[in-house]
Amino acid sequence: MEIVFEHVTAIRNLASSLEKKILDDVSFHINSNIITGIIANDETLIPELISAIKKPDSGVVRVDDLTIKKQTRISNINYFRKKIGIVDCSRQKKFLSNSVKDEIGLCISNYRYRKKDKEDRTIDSLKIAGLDESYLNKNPNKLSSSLQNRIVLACMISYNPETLIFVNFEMNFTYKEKEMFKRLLRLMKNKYNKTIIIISKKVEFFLGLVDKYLVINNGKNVLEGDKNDFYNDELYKYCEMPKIIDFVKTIQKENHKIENYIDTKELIKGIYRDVS
Amino acid sequence: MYHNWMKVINPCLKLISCVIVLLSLFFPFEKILYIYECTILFMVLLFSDIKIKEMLIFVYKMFFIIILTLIFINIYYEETYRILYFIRFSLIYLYFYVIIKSFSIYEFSKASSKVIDFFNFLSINIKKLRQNIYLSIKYIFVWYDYYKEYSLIESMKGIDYFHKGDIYKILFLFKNFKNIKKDSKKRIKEIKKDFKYRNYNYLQDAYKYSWRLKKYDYLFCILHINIIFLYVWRVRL
Repeated sequence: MEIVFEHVTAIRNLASSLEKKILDDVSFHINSNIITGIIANDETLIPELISAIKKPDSGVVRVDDLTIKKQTRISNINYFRKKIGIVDCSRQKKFLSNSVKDEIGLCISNYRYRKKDKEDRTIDSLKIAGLDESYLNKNPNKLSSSLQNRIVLACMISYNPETLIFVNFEMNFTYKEKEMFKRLLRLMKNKYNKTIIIISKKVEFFLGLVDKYLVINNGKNVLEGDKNDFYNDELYKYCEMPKIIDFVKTIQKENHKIENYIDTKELIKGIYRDVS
Repeated sequence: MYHNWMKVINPCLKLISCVIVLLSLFFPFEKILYIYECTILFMVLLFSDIKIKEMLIFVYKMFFIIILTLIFINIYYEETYRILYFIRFSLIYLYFYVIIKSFSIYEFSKASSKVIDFFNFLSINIKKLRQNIYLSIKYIFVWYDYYKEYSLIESMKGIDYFHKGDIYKILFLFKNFKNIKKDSKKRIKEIKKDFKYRNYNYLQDAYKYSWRLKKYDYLFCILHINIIFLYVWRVRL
């Protein structure tokens, strides 16, 4: 699924004292079947624009053949939304139902899947998110935040969208969980040809996962780069530098021959080679 | 510097001025009184920093209320003055908009509790009064926040009431009313607890500067009291 932003301007709280331009004449292109990372000040706006929950104040958002303008009215909105899944972990309120089963069932029934498939789909989607059947009858609002994130993911996987958008997904996960979900996302991209967009302020989650990244700062598209471009110093004007990159850079300053590693295991091998 | 002068004026006076302007709606038509009041209202709009575009959007949003006022004008006033009264009504709406914009919730609660305390024959505790007014106004904002939040979650999960039209918005409200109410009550309770234990002094002394009367406060007060004075002089005497 190709997504194109053409001269998009989006304003929050229009015509009020809290008016703020979040996107100011921004243009970029997200190819299909790749993982794209976006570093932005307001993380929640871009998924809202892509899924036509909010419309741009000026400019055009193109999602496949569909063009979203300020005054466009999409007749088959449910069919369109079925293609896009949003996992927004930055919100406080995430669920509408009082059990995990109902919550996932809600997504499935909204997109008009058969009732027969409902149970199988709920269990399968929970398994993909790394949870078992024992969570089906639990109240999602009372679970820990990392488990809540997993359930939001399960809800989204249940209706099998073409494009997946993750907002602050890595929040509250441990290192092992992060690695597990990185593997899952890579699998989704390679085996099932999904288009994945990850929006976050932490570059650490992007390393070894993202094919392309964008930086949107103060409403402007400031920087673009690919997966080999994480050692660009300009990127770290806008976000925090990951520890591995900081470590490699300090070693390189002391005239050690170490390449630009992103993976920790490869870095350890490189250090051994340098020492021997 | 371009500045909203309405923010500087004492909140109690602003509340009293609103009451005077509301009262003036029921005065019979008198040329000088009409011109005087309209100029005051217009001056207030001029001194605020709110843009014309913003005001027009507000008028557009108040579409149903404007229709109701038209009906009211048709019933209550004579045919010759109807257009003039419509102009005054629209100016008054904008005047209220400017004044509401210049208030923070805290200021409004403090001002209204002070005004109520003036007629407080039952000697109700003023701090509790202030807190309850604050929380009841805050409840509206919290409720609206949850309303927006629920709509967003629903549309992310495939039920889009907001894309279809206004009738569906009412349907959405019927469906989620209980949950929104429950969540907003919970939030208000948390805020109340905050006041009790953490922000104990918050409602007592946050903005000291605006409570002492200054020159422009007196001017503002005199301009509004003149409306009643003119009414008595031109109509009653």
